[in-house]
Amino acid sequence: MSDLSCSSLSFPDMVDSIVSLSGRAAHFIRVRSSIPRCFFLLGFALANGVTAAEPPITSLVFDPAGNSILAGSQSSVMVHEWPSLRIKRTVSSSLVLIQSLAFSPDGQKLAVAGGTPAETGVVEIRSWPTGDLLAVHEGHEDTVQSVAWIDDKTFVTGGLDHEIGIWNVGLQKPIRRLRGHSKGVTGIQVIAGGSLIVSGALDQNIRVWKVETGELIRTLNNHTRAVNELKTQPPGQGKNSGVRRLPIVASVSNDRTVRLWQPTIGRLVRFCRIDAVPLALTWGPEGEWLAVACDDGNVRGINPDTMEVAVKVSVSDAWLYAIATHPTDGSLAVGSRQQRLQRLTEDELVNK
Amino acid sequence: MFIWWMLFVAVLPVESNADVDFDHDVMPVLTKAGCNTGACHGAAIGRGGLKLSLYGSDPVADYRAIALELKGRRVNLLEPEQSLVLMKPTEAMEHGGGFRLDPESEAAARLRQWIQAGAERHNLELRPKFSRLEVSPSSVVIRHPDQRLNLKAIAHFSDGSVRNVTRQTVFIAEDPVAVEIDSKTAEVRVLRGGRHVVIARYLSQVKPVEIILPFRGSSVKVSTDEQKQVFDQKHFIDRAVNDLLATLGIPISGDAGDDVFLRRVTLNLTGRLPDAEMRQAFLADDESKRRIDLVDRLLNSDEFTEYWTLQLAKLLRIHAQPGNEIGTQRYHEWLQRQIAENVGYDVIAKKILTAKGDTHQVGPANFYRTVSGAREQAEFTSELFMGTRLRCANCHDHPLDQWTQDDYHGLASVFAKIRSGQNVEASDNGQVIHPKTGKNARPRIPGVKFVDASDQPLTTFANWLVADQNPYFARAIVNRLWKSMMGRGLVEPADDLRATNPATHPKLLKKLADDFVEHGFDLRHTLRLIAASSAYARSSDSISGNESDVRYYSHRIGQLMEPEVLADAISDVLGISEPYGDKPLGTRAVMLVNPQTESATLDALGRCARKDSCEVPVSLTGTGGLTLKLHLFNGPILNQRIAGGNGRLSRLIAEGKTNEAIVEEYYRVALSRPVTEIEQRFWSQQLKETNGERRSLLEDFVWSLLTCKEFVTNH
Repeated sequence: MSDLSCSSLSFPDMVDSIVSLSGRAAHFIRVRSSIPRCFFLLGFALANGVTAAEPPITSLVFDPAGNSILAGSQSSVMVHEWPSLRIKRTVSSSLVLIQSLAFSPDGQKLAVAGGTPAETGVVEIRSWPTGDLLAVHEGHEDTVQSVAWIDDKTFVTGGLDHEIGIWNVGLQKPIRRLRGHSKGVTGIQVIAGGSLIVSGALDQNIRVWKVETGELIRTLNNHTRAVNELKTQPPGQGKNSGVRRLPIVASVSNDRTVRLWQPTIGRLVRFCRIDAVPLALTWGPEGEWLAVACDDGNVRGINPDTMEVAVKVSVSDAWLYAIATHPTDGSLAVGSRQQRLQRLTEDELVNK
Repeated sequence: MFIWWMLFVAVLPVESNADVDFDHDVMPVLTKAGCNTGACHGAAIGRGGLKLSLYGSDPVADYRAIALELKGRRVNLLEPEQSLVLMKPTEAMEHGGGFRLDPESEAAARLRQWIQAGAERHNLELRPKFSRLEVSPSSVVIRHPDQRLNLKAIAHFSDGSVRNVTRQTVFIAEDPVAVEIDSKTAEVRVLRGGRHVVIARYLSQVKPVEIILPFRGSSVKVSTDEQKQVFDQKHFIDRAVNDLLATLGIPISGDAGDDVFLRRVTLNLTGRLPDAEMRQAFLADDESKRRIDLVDRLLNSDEFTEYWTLQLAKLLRIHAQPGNEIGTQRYHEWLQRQIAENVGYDVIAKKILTAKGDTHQVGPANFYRTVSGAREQAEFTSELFMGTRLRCANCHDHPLDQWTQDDYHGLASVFAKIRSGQNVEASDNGQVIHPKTGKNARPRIPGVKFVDASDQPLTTFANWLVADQNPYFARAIVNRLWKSMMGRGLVEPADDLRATNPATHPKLLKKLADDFVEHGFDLRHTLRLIAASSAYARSSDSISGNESDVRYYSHRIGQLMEPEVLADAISDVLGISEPYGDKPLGTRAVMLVNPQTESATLDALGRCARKDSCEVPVSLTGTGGLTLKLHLFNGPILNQRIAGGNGRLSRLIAEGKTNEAIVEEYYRVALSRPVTEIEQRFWSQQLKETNGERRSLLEDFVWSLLTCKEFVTNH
């Protein structure tokens, strides 16, 4: 095991490469909610002098073709043209909060996950690209924070009710509930050809489960604060791809660390500590870099082989809740609490 | 018509939502609703998944928790009414904490406005900062129970502006049974006579309000005995005590009399019962100065040094660490020398704090072996020398005092540089991690300033602590001296001095502390001062009107003898020594260096192991608990030893003394007074009329005497 703390390393190039994108009008857009307001609300807003504020962007996913970026927020999914970020359309949802978006492996279905805080966790399955509602799955007692597909018909959810659910599209009840986390589940990944689930939670633990039986295989407990998100390294196609035999999952936590794991053998591969709280992460198209969205409004680019922070890019003054990598060109979409959707090129991130 | 209404509404003068700020507007709402109390989300691990700082001491963390964490799920910016932070306390959805906020209230409206405006936290650098809270009146005397009092809270800001925050301020009565407060209007009604304290809390500040309702509305009636008191009636202690009694309308009990005074002051200053010779000399002295002469004799005695070494050893928690018995012995010897030589308390404290070297040679260096860890050292030191409980600020800013986490971890950082094995020495390596920043804490003089590592933080702290102007050091020790002599501290608990736990007599505490400093931090001087007051010499017998007073010194508060003193007193009265571990028979309990010395008697009497604080709660200073009583009544402490062969009783019987003579001697030895005619008659009857064996009857008499309240207390 090689543990490298990046906080002690110096990166003379990093300072030069910090790029503030806040002034680049072409690269960001303030998303306007399309929620219709009734006349009463208009009167109320007038009486109070302001309209309601815009909700944050809480999840991002590229469509399978890479032509659009979908931004989840409260009550709707905004579809933006990529790379212009122009709004193409809005997919309205019955969910009070949308916390996670995921396309099925065949790209035909979109899972929209969230719910009503402290009441219900819901997943809407919509056809893509039409956006038509195919099914609604209710079964969690608090919002679903993360959703991932096992195959084109089966998906898995992690909720703040501490539970993990495995669902078949169209079936009202989960086919299996996985219980073990003592606090809300915030991250779900499916690995090993759909045979294992990796879950991260507010209880600081990462757990590995068998899909087929629901058996808890192991608990990875190196994080010392809540786990915010997990992401699986994509299969590489470069010169080193041949040696990647075991799947690697990255986790980010309130303990200000980014950790790489091999969940199938329970190994913490390496980690680094950063000077902000990482909230979300994404891998480069071939797993050659990691981008971490943080609570200080910066995106940090990390070399997964050394766990060095190669670059820090200032994106916003607000917390960055969501980040996603374009499937082919490696550019990034970043979503913040201020409902700003921004584009970051791979060059800006990896400081080529 | 509807258009006209819309226009009318649109031009109404309303407060802009943008002006609603998290720190100054939302935090008071949460505090007022009780959301951030220790029983709710202010608990160390939070509640229901939401963790807030205790009483809102950390607005930055609270803002993160409410508005930002978990992708901002607790605020709904599209539909503010649907926000968890509103729906939970108004019980629009199930809430473990129940109904906390009326949805129609101004507080709920403010919360709603904040969310509508984007649930932001303003940049406080650009806005006036809250600087202080002013509550009026701060001290008031109410003449009648029907009189209502309206409290008013004003917040002062850095730009000079003020805001009436009465409705956002939390007012809590120290004794809710005695003081009723309308939480909406801040109207106060006092239900019971006495001196009451109400704590006002707004944002990070708390202020005490003193409210006095006289018990009877009458003035003090000074008894005839009091007028005859030979001590100076202009004594500042008596002025302060009597003034408050007059305000409260509590009558004063008379003087205790010479016999009681003799016993009381001898126990307080030497931890022993006065013997017959002392009594004789005392009563033979000139009546006008016999008491002060006695006090001076006691203060200059070896017994004073022995007993007050024990008192300070308890404060310093001197106990033998495994393998460091030699060091403990050196520490105790050093302390005894300081008392014998009447070294100033400031010098003692500074020598202790700055001691270095081999703990087997340098006694005070053992201070750094008393507790382990820099944080524990900071807690111990603050309780010992400042009389404050800094420990609360480990996890959060102190909810009832000024102490912040910077203060706590900063002081711990001062001690982190001390390496404490057998050799106590300075080290460059020690660090304390500040839990808020995750980085090394900076050394800090609590409540004052940060100190650079190059500026010798420990010496700087020690100098600051013992400086004449230090607001804690002198007060902490004079309050303890007062408690030792009077049975109750001016501040209780004695290690919890803070603005929100005010002294019963604040001016007296200040005057005592100032006087202590003026007289070179001389422990004997302050003890003499207290012993010379009329308040000290007061009878413990209550009179009509002061029976329930346990705070204002209208009559003496009886103190249960300390375990060591009681054990010695029992041995003295019985004439049979108590064995203590491997110490020579005849060793007195007050002279034991190690509180772990084997002794079933001291264990049963509840001795302090000195591993933690030995401060005795005032509720237990009276007569002790049930366990102690059972030990005395039924256990071997008395029963086995009374029946022992070589004690006082055996000697008196062998000398052929009559029952009356035996009763007379035991009264003089145990209670330090002659037996009264009524008592003598009673015992004569008991010892004559019962058909048992004489010795057995006399043993019962001795048992009765040694279990009575008059014996086991210093009254």
